[in-house]
Amino acid sequence: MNWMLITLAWRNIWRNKRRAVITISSIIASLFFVLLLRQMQLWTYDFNTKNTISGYVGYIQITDSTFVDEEILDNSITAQQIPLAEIHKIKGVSGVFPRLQSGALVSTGIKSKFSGVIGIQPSIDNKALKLTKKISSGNLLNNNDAAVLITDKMAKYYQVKPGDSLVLIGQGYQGVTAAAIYPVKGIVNFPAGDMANMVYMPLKEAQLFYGAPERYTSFLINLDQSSDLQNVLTEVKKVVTNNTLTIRTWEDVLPGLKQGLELDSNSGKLIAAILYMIVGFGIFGTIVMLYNERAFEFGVLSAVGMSRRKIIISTIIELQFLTFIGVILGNIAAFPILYYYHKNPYQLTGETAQGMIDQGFEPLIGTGIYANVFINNSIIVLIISAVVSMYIVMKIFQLNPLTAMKQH
Amino acid sequence: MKTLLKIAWRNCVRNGLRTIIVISAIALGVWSSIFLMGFTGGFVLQRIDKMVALQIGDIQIHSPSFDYDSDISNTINNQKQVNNLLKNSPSIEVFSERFRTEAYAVTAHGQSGVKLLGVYPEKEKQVLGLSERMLDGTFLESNLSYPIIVGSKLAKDLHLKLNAKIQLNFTNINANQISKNFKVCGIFKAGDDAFDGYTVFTPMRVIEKLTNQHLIHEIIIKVSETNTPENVAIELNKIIKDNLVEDWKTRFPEVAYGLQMMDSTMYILMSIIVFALLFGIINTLMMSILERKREIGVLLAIGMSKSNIRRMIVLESIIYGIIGAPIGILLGFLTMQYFGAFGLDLSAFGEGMEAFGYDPIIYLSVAPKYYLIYAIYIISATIVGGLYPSRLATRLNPIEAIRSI
Repeated sequence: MNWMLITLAWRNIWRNKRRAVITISSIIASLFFVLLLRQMQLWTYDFNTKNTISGYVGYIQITDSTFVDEEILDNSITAQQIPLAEIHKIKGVSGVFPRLQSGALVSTGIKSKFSGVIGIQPSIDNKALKLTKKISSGNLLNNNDAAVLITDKMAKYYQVKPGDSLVLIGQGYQGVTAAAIYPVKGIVNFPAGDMANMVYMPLKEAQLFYGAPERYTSFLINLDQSSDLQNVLTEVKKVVTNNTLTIRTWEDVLPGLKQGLELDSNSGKLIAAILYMIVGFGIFGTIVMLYNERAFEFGVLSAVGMSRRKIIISTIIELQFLTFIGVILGNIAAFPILYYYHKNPYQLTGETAQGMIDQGFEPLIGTGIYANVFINNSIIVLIISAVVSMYIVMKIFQLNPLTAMKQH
Repeated sequence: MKTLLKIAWRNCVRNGLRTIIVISAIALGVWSSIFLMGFTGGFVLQRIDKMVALQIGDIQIHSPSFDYDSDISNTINNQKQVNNLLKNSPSIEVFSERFRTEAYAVTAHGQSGVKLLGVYPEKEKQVLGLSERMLDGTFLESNLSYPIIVGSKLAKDLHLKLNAKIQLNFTNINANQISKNFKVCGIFKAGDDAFDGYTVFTPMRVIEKLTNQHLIHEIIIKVSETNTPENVAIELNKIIKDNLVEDWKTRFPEVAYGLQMMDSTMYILMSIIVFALLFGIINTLMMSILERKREIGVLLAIGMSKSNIRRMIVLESIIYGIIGAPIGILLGFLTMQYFGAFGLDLSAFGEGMEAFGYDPIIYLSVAPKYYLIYAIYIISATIVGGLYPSRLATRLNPIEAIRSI
């Protein structure tokens, strides 16, 4: 019996082919736009947060509690305070990165400028910070080098190349004066953000330079997947029991970034909402036509004894079928493009690129293939269609078979 | 034509619900997207206005090589001559000469790189509106020997309060290190972390005392009200030969880029909405034609020309646009007037926005030209949307059409 209703619904769709095609294509077009927009936005957020936080702030950051308010070397910690082995064991943790981060006046003798200095562990950081890909000239650091890496931007400012030397003068641990001369071993390309104004130094050398042997300003924990953040945080909080330490997520460390992204994301949701509203009207239009066209038929069906419930079910199945076809095709239409730009993000050039770099983002545009974006938007369209279908349900309930049949 | 219009109008009225659906879709689509456009526009413009007024100024002058060699010895060429020219230019309201170098700031609570600007406070106050953005203290109105004003972000990072000490280090023209303790006499907040965390001002007299020289690296100009920065920059470039005169758009293309991007965002947004509406319009017209097959068959049979039938249907489509678009635009306009005057409070997102130089209260604004462009877009869409269904109608075979139910 149910099968018959489904057959009936299916045949009804194709009775008026043109209408079906138009309704379906309007659903396809809107869903296509929304998917493109949302997947692009979410990819950009993920890409940029990953870039900004994975090497610099860490998804999760462990520091001394005093460091939160006052980022100076005197508020550094030792490795003994952190149960490293246990953190490594937590599922979802891709690595733990010790950092000694401060700043110094960097000078060639004639030109000087303050810049951040970051002590990294080349053996693990070369890969984590993607330095192997970002190096534009010279060589990468080794754990025991007494040399530095600088960024393209700084090399241009100081007009130095690998092999030249830079003088670093800064304030060390507990008031020690830190001063030394270092050869530039390589130049790396960080176009945007805080990483673009930074001198990279092997951790050991940084500790020596600042007179802070075996001390660290922070331990950064990176994740395999950003969605694991809360779970890993709970686990880390369980194993790190020392209460002079503070554990923060990147959202706590950079609240501005998080909120900026949310704001941008909301504008995308608003555009999606407008499009869905228009689609909703489109489907509503179809439903109104459909009722007018078939009032006579509904009257006959009702008169010969088909229950209204069944008429309604069959009509709703028809409309949901129609929407469903549109949803499936919309997803299919968007997927190849999304997949292509997921694999080959588009490199912007010129002023557009400069504008993005200025905002602290890399000038790359790609699209995500996040499953939940596909699913959520598909469900939204189906729900809209279901809500709009209530019109016809109401109409069929109010239907008077006699008048309906006479009207024609 | 008049008859056609009448028929088209009656056709629209005949199935009121359907017409209302299309018109509401158009009106609501237009309205909501104007809101979004106003939001984006207000957002971007406000940020740019603020940056120009508080950080950049209308026009800046530097030595031509300053950008790739921002050395302390790279000063403005022919200073006196430039100064005279600017003083005598009628299109300039006021200008401010600046010393500018990279310095290294140290306090007991941390260290940071800063841009040290030596200014004549009275002039600087007139060119940039920063003196009205003081959280604490005054804009260098101080009798201290080494006063300095700092941004709120730097004050927070280095735990600076009024009268706190801060040591600045920079190299002089002979590459010797100058190190001096300054006292904070004011804290400003321009609302942009990049500026507030990085810029400090001190009076020119202090710089002259420290360097024993009169060094001018940068001149910031505010043009008089009747002139635009672009025109004045062109004019100045003609008379000032050996320095680089740039209006803010040229000097900071990435800031001006915000304007350009906003423009394309508007067009993209309008196109997406119009495209989506197009489907709705075609959909509706097709339905209405399929419903009236018989009628159209009769019209054809009694000799109404195909082109007239086509016109009739396109007219119906245009009626949708002519009613829908103005309603949407009017609603949009009223919304803009309201939120343009009272602002939209987004302080829930405040922190994130301020970090990027945005205000938490957004005054929506849409350039008037967009109302017109949008109206043209919609009307054109209704014409285009009417074409396909109208062709469909004229392809009907009158005899078959009359017989069909």
